[in-house]
Amino acid sequence: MRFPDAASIAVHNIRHNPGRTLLTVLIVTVVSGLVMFLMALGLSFHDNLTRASLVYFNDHGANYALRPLDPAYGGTGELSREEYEVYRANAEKYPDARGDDLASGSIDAALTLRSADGGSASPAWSYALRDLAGKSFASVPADVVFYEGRVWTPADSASRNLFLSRTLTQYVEKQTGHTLHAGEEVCLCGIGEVRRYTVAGIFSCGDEAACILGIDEFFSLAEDPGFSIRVDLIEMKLRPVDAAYDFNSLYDHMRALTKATNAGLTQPDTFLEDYPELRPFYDLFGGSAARFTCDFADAMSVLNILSSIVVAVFFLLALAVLLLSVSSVANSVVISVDKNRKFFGMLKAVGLDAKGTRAIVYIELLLIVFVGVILGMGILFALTPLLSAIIASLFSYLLGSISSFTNSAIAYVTRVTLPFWVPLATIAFFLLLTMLFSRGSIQKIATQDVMATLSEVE
Amino acid sequence: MIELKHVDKIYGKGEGAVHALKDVSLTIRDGTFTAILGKSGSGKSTLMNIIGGLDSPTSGEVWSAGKLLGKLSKNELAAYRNKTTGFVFQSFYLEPTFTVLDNVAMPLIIAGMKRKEREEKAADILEKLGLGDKIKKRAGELSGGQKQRVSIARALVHGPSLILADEPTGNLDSKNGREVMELLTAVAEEGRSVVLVTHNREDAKCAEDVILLADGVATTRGRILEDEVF
Repeated sequence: MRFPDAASIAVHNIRHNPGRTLLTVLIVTVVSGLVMFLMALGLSFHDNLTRASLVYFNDHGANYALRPLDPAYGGTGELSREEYEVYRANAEKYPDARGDDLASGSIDAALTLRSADGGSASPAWSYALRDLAGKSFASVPADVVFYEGRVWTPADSASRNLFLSRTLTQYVEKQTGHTLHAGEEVCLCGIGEVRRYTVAGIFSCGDEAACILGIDEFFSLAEDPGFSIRVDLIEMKLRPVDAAYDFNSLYDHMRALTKATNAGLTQPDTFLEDYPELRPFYDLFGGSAARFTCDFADAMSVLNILSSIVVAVFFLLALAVLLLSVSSVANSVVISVDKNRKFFGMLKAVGLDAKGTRAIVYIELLLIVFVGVILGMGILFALTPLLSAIIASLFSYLLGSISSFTNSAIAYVTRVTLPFWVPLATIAFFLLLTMLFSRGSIQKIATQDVMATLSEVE
Repeated sequence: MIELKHVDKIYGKGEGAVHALKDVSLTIRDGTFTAILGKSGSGKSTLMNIIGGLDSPTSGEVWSAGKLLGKLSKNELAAYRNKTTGFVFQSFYLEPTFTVLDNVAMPLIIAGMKRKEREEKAADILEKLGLGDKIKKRAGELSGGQKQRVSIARALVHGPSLILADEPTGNLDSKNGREVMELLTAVAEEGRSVVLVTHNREDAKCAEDVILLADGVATTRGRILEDEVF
């Protein structure tokens, strides 16, 4: 028998039992929706965890947003406003803190430093940069230009290298009367260079606001920067170019180190031998880099283990739901076969063989499962906001726990992930399990004598 | 030629077992109209089903179209039914929601014939049986006589050499019954073997050979004469 004819007969059988078919489709819809919901929950959780950034704060409050999926790590480098919730949490916890202090994992140390620094803009920065450059922070001249730029998007990899600058926000506002918003671009004209930044987000604490900047592009003034400068030069207390360069260099080194640590190429107690170029930074930051690596590696391994457990748990739950429901779907198939027994008897009398009988029943099953899973996907999409809320809630609880015992914070974005293979796998599992459960009945009708089939009807 | 050698059919086991056919040996010649005549419960339908490959004997051999049916696999037996035999049942066994055309084309569908070709064949045979105007109708909308004619069309559409009809007039009034018997006679005259299972002596008179069946025991005899009493 040709496939279209077998399919046509299968459709006939389905239509012959509309009530039963509807009920079965409903069961498949609800169960497949639930199964895909659980799978999407597990996968989304895993996906979001691997995207989450580990923001490390050293003893001086300087922060590094280290992202496992940063392009430098072979990832997408995506970034979300949710990431700043980490900073917001600090702002709520320390209402008296300001600006960069909020990014500090050791707020108290940062506040002390700020006091020692005479209340200058960025205690952590100033401390580090002053030592690095051997210059007074306040005396460094720099130029800032406000530039209206494009809309920021989460996928904008430009803002991946984050740092805070309350000072910049204030100066821009003072000089131009414009309050910076996320998505706008800022040009900083330093000594011999122009840097363009995308404002990745603004957060406020009390009456003050600080912005988070992303290093976007670097242009030598000898080159055409490719955009116009609209506002006059102003003086700004900003880091010196050399120090900034060194900081970026440090950042690159730390990123390489993180990558090497994750890959198991080095250990916290041997990394200085493996990466001697980090020695100046290690000394600069008071010899705490070893702990940094350790903390980071620990946190990463916790994230990885957690992610695997969550995926496994949700997948097992999905499998359990599937197994529980398959018996009722299989039962429905058995009933359908039974109701069409006379029809099958007639088909067998005119030559339908076992293979053809099985083909008809399996196509019938495939159609029901396919329609049910497609409808289940519809339900899943309708439930996406709920899914997102559950993931966010889980993240908040679990990652908060991790942050509390490492010298770091975890910034994350909650996004629902449903790869194309999930519905396909659901259909395949449904079919496989239902075929397995209803195998006896299908085998019986396929192989028994024609008169035995017909006589069971009479 | 169809040949049965020492065929027994027993339903059930132990004391409740029913011996439907007892050591039946007979021959049905190719191209003849043969009637299996017997009372209800005599085993005649069982005999027909065994000849048609719808059922299998408990013991003995059934040869048809040069094949020993007992040696055929289930799939080979299905192919035998699809190619060699055509069935006409008392209760028609038509699918009421299918069109007349689709019902008739069913053996060709199962044989894997393309739609156009099979529909042409089915339409031809329906035309010949005077049902040309019913092609698009649902089988459930037909009268009993029409249904049986559709059933006969289905039995003939794939050109089988053996037609098996089980009480084809059982559910019909006398006029429709006569028409059906005329149709089967015409089929036999075309050179096909027709085996008619009936309890009706009048119907059996159409047959050239008659197999009398009583309590599972078969006796073969010639044509029943018009005025014969037995």
